[in-house]
Amino acid sequence: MTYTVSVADWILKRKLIFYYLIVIDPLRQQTEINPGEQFEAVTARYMRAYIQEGTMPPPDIATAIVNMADDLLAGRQITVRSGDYIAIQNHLRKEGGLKA
Amino acid sequence: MAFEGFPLIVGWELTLACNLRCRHCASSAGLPRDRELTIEECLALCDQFPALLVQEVDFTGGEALLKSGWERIARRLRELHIRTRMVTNGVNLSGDTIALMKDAGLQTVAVSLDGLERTHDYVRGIDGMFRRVVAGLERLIAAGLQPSVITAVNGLSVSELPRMLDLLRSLGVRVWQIQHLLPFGRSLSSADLHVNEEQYFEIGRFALASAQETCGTDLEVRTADSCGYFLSDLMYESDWHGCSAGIAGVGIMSDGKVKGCLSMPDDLVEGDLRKNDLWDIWFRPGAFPYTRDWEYSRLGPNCAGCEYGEQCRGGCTSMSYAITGLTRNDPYCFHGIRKRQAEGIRTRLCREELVQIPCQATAGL
Repeated sequence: MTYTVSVADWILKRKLIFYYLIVIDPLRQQTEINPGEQFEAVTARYMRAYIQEGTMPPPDIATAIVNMADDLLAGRQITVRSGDYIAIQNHLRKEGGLKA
Repeated sequence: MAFEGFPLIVGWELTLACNLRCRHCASSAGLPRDRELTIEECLALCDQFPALLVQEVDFTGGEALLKSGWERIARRLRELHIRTRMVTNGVNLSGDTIALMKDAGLQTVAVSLDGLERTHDYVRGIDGMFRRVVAGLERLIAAGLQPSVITAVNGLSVSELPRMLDLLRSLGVRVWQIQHLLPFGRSLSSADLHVNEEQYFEIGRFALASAQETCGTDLEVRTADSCGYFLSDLMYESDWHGCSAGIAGVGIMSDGKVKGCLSMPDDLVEGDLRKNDLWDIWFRPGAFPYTRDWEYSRLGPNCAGCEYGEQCRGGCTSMSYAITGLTRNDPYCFHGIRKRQAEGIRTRLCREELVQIPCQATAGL
């Protein structure tokens, strides 16, 4: 499954021409990625628990899961904000030794 | 709030080995670093990029083409849907190499051309290099792989810029990136190449005029992020919002060390990919403080009190630190120089000589 991760405006508005490295194509604000089965399984489990049972996710990813669940409940494509994405990745790495 | 940026652009020094010993080389390239990453380590590193939302990888060196197996890295990145570009000195742009570049999926090949024939060959230290590079550019274009040209303008080539523009236009080059010589590395011992204040302004004027002249044409002229901002009548890159190192970009050295930008001195290394993965290095609390921990009050003496400070945040971190020993204190600033000159102060733009001396304000600068 792919997720759309949204990068904050303030990062993209920087002019991204590195010293002697030529950039021609604009950078994308939203990136579609497939973060893997573990990411999908964990987010799906906590979203299901939150939506169906009202169980709050672990504190370090609670905001991320609730935001994703809101998208799902509203019928929107799930867009993961960058901070939420980082929180989930960090949670997975802490819990399961996931490597980026 | 925790940092929420990503290394969207990776500058990757594939090797420090180089087949040239250019007088101006800021990296002092020549021999490879000790224990450079193996191809297997490089391929494994590629697999870390998607989670970090990397969108583009720019191969540099040394001479990137000297990294045996570079095309395997490029192909791996293409499989991961990450754009790749390469900066090369243009010495080895044979038909076979260009075919390999295309096959490996490089989207841009940026070739260094640092002056007209006499100056370029002087900088390279070998006669015939200029003609070789021009022939390589012609082969790239004929092969349908659009090259860009990068010029590190030095004290000898400032006056050659208009003729270089004509040359590049006639060759069919699409993008020309202009920057000034970085006064560190091997260039420290080549004082004749250093750019003084007047020459720096000349570069700015030329870049602005040629960017306006070529706007909408087949050749786009632009400046690197170490040059070309800060002054309303020279600043056409008005959307520059400060150094991106450690905010939206990262530099990976050939031995696996990580910096915000490859141009930074080695004492700004943030981590080692043989000890930690890139995610941990990138998101380590306290990492890349020179750009992430921004406060206006931290501007260095060259920039303190500047009305543009909040936007530009003290300019190019590499240039600032390499020359002044401070970050957020870039002396290569049109606005700053003009302001200091109005106060009767001239700044020598040279490392270890960065002193402010009384002078007559120079009209027109």
